Amino acid sequence: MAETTHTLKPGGVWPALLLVMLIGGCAAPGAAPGPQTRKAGTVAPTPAPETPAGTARPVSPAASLIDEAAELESRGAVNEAGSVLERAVRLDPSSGEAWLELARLRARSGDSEGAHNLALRALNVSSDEPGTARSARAFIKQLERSGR
Amino acid sequence: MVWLDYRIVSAFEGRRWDLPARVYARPLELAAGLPLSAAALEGHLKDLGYKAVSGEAPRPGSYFRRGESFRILTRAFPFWDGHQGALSAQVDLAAGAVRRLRAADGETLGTLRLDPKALGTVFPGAAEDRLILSPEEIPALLRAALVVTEDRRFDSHFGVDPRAILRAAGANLKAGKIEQGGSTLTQQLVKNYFLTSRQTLPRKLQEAVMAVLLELHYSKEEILTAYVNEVYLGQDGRRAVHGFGLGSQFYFGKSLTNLQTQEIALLAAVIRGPSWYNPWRHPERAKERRDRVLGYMASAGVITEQDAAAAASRPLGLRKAAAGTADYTPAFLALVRRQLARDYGADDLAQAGLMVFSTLDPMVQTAAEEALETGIRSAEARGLGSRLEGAVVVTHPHTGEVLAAVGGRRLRFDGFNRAIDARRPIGSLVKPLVYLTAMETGRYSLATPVEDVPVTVALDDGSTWSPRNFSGTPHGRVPVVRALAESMNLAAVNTGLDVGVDLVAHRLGELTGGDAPAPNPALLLGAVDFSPLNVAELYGVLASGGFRTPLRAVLEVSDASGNALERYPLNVRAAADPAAVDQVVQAMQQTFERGTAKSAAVPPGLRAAGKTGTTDGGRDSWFAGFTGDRLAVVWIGRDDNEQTRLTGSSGALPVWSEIMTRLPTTSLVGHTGAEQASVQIDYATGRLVRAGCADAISVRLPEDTELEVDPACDPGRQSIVERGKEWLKRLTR
Repeated sequence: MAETTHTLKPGGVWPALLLVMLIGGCAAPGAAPGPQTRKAGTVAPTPAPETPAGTARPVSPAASLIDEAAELESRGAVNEAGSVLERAVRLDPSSGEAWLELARLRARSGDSEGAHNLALRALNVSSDEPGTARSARAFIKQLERSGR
Repeated sequence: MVWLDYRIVSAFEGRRWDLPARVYARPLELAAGLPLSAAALEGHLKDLGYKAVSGEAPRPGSYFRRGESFRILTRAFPFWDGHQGALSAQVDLAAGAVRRLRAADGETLGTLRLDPKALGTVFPGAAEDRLILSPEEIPALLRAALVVTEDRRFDSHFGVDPRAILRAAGANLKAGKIEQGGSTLTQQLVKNYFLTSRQTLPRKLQEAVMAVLLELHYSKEEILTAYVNEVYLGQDGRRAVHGFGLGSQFYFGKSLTNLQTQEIALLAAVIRGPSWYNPWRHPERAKERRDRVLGYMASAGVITEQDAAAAASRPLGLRKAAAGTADYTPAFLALVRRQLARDYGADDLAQAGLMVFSTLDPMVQTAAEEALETGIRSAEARGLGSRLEGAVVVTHPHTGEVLAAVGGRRLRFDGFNRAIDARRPIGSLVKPLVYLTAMETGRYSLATPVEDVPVTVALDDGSTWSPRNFSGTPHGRVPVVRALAESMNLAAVNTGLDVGVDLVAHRLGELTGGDAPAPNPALLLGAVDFSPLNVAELYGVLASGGFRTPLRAVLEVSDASGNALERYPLNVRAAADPAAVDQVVQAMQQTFERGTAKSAAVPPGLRAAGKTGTTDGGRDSWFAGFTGDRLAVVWIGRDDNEQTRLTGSSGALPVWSEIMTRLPTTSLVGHTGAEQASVQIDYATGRLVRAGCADAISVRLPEDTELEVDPACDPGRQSIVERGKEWLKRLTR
């Protein structure tokens, strides 16, 4: 209970907000007195009510299938590995890792266009998997560099 | 004689090796956390023909349930990605989800895949259908019942039974006409092969000779197995039901292994005359014959007298003729055929014994069928229309898999398939795409005020078009979120005209994977014809964060020995701006909170997004929406395009809600992969507000979204009272 003062939100948002307001004000000198506007990103975040309280992402049911696919691929059963990874995506479409592994497998089988799209999808669902998001970004860059 | 020998052997061999492609449903794959109730799991196991046992589960295809725990011994199955042996597993459920999966040795299992349900065959030419059984799959009781009722000396005769013929001849002489057959099972099999019911003497002689020849070439067991798979058992619309495997599903909605004595007796009874003894049409006649079969079985010592009496006291136990099992799903099979037709000829499908692994989810299919029937009946009872028809498509939006397809009220009718072929105006279902296009220009967000005011558009032909709101009243300036949630026509038209009808039409073409529709202004209110399947594909882009995933009904194909042939892999294509999609989806969530789907009876706490659609004169009632893992599109209307009193909310929405309520499903999760800000805006004005002030709703927006600030509710300021409340809240936390 450190915050017994007037601070609204934790983390000293006030100064930032004031700064933004000042900058906003300075950026448009002499603008017609209309409604005040603000960028969404500069507003102190309100906890979104729909986020389930205190959720660390649980172990994905896709995890064991991702392992199984790796095992299949190591034995040269590439198509079968693809089929297993799709089962992983079906079970947990929010698993960035499953999408990313599918993208990597697709790239290894020579379809870099398909791989690129799957990697974008991996990035798209990885908002709560920072590690996966980083890997997805790196993989996308790599595909783009190699002129997919 | 040689000719007859050639004909009968080639018929027998032909049937033995001409295996029509067999279609399997998607297997149920269990994993910890998967939403699933104990009742649903047990229902599915029974549907697969698993036997409930007590104590340990002793043989493949059985389970033992105690409360919410199941011990299951699965059957081995040649899956496309490898043969899976029979597995013993312990499945613990709790609070409507899988809590834990363990192997027999107690070790945790990642997933457990059950064997898939066989759906039937793809039959491109002949309208015969069957589920082929192997000799081991034929219950001993069925064999005994067939022998005692049809052919007592089957195990000893040589194809014909002179004593039976003499007995029949005597009876026929007495009656002065042919009344009794005296045919052996072998003779009946021959007759079935050549499909003729003419009972002339030369024909009978020919049959007898062929029966003897057949017995010379094949063993009794081979002949009996062929008989069990061949015999005609009834008519299901255009489909002829052959063999006991399918017959069991057709009459009882369960597999042959799960039939009770009286049910086996009924099947043995109807083979004498499937239409004369049709148990739905002539229940008393069928029951009398069934009980006579039970009597034969008792007197031959196959069952005891007590068992026969007990069985005879039971009702026929037929499945409901209209609803019930998802075994014959012509609307879905049409999709399967369409997808396979690209790679396989009719001959391959009819003969090569292909194993087709489809995407159908039997639980979803049953829920969709029943929900549609209930919904239409209820709409008619409420006086909203008569002679209504409908269609449903359910998909897994992230993988593009079609989980269920219902083509109309007559479920088993392989005719006009509204899920694929009924192309109807989509009405307001187009609006999310209008706003998506607007947001993709970068000039619009959820909070942008749009004008819900009258507009008149000059058309190319010199006339004018003045659309109206459904309620008749314009709402003035409203934010996009409210305009979409409450489905305001004028706001959609004004927005669409601002961004350009051409652009909206172009995007519609791209997102459906088809041609762009004609860019008429009326397109902005859904004057474009799509089938429910098209809508499912289009809304799939919204449900999967802006990625287009072509729909699939078939995942894989193997040959008769289980070798992998074809795979239809998952492909996605980034097709829309994820941040724009995320905003449109949030507005579609408000449809349930405050908009046109407020009346929906969805499970509390389930986050879903959707859109109603109604066309002029209530000709089409649509609802399309999705949760985290399912997307469903429902259409209700009339085939003759007559008016009804339906709206999207009164007709299609209750069906949609019923499907989502009956099925385990997960809540929608918003993803964009981009940096977003979570803020509160006023639902009425779209202005930035602080929580609890004005009519605040919480939304996620791209960080650079410019928002007008509501001076009375500025999130930068708080009243003394609010500040005090906040402080108290923190103290008590």
